[in-house]
Amino acid sequence: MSKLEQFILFHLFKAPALLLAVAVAVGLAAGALLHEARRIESLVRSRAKVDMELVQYNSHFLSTNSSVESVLSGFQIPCRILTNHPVQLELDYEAAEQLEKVGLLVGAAEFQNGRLTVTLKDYPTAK
Amino acid sequence: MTGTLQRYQRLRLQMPLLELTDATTSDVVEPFPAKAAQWQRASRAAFAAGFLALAGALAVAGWSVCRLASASLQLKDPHPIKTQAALHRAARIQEALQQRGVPQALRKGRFLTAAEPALKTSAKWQLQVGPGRTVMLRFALAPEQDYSDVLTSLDKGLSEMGWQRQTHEDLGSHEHIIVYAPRP
Repeated sequence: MSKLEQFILFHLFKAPALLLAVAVAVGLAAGALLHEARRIESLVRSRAKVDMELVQYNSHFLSTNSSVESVLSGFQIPCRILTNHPVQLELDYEAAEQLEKVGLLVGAAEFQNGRLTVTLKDYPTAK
Repeated sequence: MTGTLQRYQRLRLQMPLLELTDATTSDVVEPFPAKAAQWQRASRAAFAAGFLALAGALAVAGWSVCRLASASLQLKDPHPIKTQAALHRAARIQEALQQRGVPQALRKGRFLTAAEPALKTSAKWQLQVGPGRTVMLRFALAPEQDYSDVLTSLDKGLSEMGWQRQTHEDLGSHEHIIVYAPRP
């Protein structure tokens, strides 16, 4: 191929080649953006399936050294401990509901003269 | 001849391609390529293809940007999980809790939460879990309170946790004892 032919071919195809190169670069960038968008969408979808209440309020059951006292203190449940074995507490109804939310189940409860006392079931041990 | 050569040299350096392809061989020493016209058509076709490819790529990029912006916005919602690592950690905790049967145990044991609408209307009540798989509720109502409303409310709350009323005893003086047991 002569120099003239090379010259003509270069000038004829430089613009299309440049356009194609830019198109490929933009295409690759679009692919990367799409991949990131899909990753975030998948994360958002997956986190909707996670029971956050279970994770946030009941993960203390997985701790080997967790106790009723540590749970009451950890979740800052307003109550007054009356006895330790079994654990008997004096508290208001909202605090009692919070107890149940964090997995401390009530074995007995009594409400009289505006005073609520609850006796907790034993703190479950790991299986 | 010298003038023609100089003109050719200048042409090789400066002449726009279209003019070059239109030039006649008499103007240049080197013969003009016979395939020049064919190359020019190929060049135009390649240019059109490149343009279309770029337009397509830009469209896809725009769409991707919109999708990414929308997804990022969703990620900014108030939620403790923001990263893949946090999601994996939460999923591991959830799985471990489910393996220990925590959700199932809790589902049937939140009596105060389930009975709240009824118990909050009573001035005096007692709740006893057991003996066995029973729950006993003893409560006193004010004379103006409708017992059936309280009973319906209790039944509904405990039914959602899988319990059903087993016995009901009216003690008089607006006092009642109800025993619930797990639904078979």
